[in-house]
Amino acid sequence: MGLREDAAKLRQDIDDEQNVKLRIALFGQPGSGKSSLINQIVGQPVARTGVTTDTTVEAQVIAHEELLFVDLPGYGTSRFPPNEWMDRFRPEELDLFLCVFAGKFHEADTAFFKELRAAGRICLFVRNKLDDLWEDGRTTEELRAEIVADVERQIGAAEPVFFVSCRTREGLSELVDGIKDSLAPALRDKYARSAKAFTLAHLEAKKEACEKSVYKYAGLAAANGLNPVPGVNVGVDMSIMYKMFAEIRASYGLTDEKVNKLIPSLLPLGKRVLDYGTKEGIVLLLKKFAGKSASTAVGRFVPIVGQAIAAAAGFGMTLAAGKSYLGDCHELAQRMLEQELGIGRAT
Amino acid sequence: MSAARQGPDKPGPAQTVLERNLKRLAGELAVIPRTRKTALLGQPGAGKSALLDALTERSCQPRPVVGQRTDATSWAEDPHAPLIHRCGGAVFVDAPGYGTAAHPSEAFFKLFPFRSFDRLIVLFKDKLHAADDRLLLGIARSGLTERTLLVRSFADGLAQEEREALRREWAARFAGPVVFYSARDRSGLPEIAAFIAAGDES
Repeated sequence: MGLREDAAKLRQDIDDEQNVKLRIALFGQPGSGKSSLINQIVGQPVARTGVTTDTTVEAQVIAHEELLFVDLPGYGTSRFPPNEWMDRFRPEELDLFLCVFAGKFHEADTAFFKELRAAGRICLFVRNKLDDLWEDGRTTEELRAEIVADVERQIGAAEPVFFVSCRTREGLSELVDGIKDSLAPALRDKYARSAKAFTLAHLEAKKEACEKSVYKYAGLAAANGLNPVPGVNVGVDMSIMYKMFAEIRASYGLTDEKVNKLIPSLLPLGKRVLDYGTKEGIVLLLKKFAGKSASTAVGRFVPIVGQAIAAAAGFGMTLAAGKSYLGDCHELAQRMLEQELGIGRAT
Repeated sequence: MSAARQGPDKPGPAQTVLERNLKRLAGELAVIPRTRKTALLGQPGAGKSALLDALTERSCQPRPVVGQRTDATSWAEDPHAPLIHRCGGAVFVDAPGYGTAAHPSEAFFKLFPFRSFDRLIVLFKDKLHAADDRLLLGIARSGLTERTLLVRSFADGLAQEEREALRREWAARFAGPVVFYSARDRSGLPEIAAFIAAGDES
């Protein structure tokens, strides 16, 4: 294939990747904490939460990066009988179901959870509000065992239960792992790129997933040599580069707001992430890597970007710039997480 | 007693065990004169049984069934399940959580003898559900608001501004008094006890 075909295919790849969202549906009684759970999974307040009753019965759809959350506030009420729900939301188009509960099972929970399981859908059972789990004179372990037994009795099959608290963040890391493990391999990267990292291992998975995107973007930017880089005898597509950088930053959740609130020892790194994220910053970075050849490891890129692009003049430069930016974002996110987990290193 | 016992899988042809128990409750209450009668009503897991245990300092007979299990308190299986708890000179009914598969709210609301009680304590945790709204509306329409107390359980985690937002929301849906209660720190318990005892001359 020639450069043009390779580029067209790559663009298609990138578009598909972005258009095909990972769809996660959350079921649960009003007040079971579905919105809070969404916010914890993505690490940003994307869903509206509150203690008062949400009176809408429309499904709330929340998009975050490559994730799409479908939150059903009024499920199982008279306005939303189960059968009608199944017709309207076509569960076969959803990738994963989180059955969220924060107390005993209501009739609608039993009916829905059973129906989903019977339909062969992947369901994870999440007992939210772990911090509320308390009973006079009994241990948390006893209470947990009782809940697991209750789920089995209501659903009619033994299911693992994830116990989480959005307030103390207990159990969230296990839930994130649980979601990842139950996804098809093709969807795992999507999830790793978009979900909040609760552990350093999550962060590594995120880096790996992001790296694949970097190859694609770098390839496309090099193939579309539209904008000559000043002082360098090759052109790249700056808008693609810009998109790549923005996507990397978003994957790590490094919003301006978060970066500006960093502790002093992390500020220089944070500032670098912000500066290199601008068009001027990207040009600087490209110039820094001008003349760098990708040919040494060309074999590894071919399956991702195609032979012609792997050999294109600007590819070494765009790839190195992308990887360098990914490295910076990763390091910053890692230091921030270490600080959050209380394992920060002295600087 | 055991002669009339039927297996849990075999309710009467026309009536379920739940319906029979609800009717039996009305009959049993009718023959208890001059005693303060209090019902604890609410969603499954709202903390009705635990509240009863706390109010009676674990001394009511029989003791309520507290647990994480759905339908821990069940009137849907045993047609002779104890329905009434006695403590000193008072009588309590610890209703099973309405809206579970075993206790659908329709049957429950239709047959529960609301008028037989001097005090109705409606508990809920998290948010007010459609079934709670139906119950509160029914209480208002029957003119029982004055003897009803709305209790938000698991309230220890609520911040002050959240409580105020909740009070504003409920004011539109229920005209009676509201108490925030926590089984963990026992806040709100004295107010509930006072509401139950108020004006009792028996």
